[in-house]
Amino acid sequence: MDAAAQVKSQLFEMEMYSDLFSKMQELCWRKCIAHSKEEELSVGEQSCTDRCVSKYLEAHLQVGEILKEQSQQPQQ
Amino acid sequence: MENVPPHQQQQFMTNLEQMQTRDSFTMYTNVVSRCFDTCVHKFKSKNLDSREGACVENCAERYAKLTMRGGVRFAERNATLQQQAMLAGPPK
Repeated sequence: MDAAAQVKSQLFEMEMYSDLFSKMQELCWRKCIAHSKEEELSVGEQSCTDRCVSKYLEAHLQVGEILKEQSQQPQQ
Repeated sequence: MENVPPHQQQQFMTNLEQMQTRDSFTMYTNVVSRCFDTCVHKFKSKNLDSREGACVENCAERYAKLTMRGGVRFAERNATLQQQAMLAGPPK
């Protein structure tokens, strides 16, 4: 792979992480944050957020493995 | 593509490959997002439990199979439509 293609490839990967992060934010917000009027996150919301991030990244890795396996199988 | 100079054809192929790479990254993040949304609802621990893990696995596999099958059918249908267009000839 030449240098230009490598740079492009790294850019795409960074784009992917950025996309991953914003999708995770959206979902964890929806699943963890009650719509109260306070500024600060409650203790429950904080630990929910921590766990949500952890689970999301775990799901990300798991899906990566599955998609890799699937792409290596012949098409139907 | 026959009338396009080889240098530009090469450029086209490179761009196409990059587009495909980008598409596959997009699909990846979409799958993760959909499957997480469908499968994970409780946050009592920081790891996926076995039920959630199985759900995510199932979801991702089905999505991948849908994509492959959809892609095949799409290509078939496209080819048929192109053939029909060729047989019909240029617009009068």
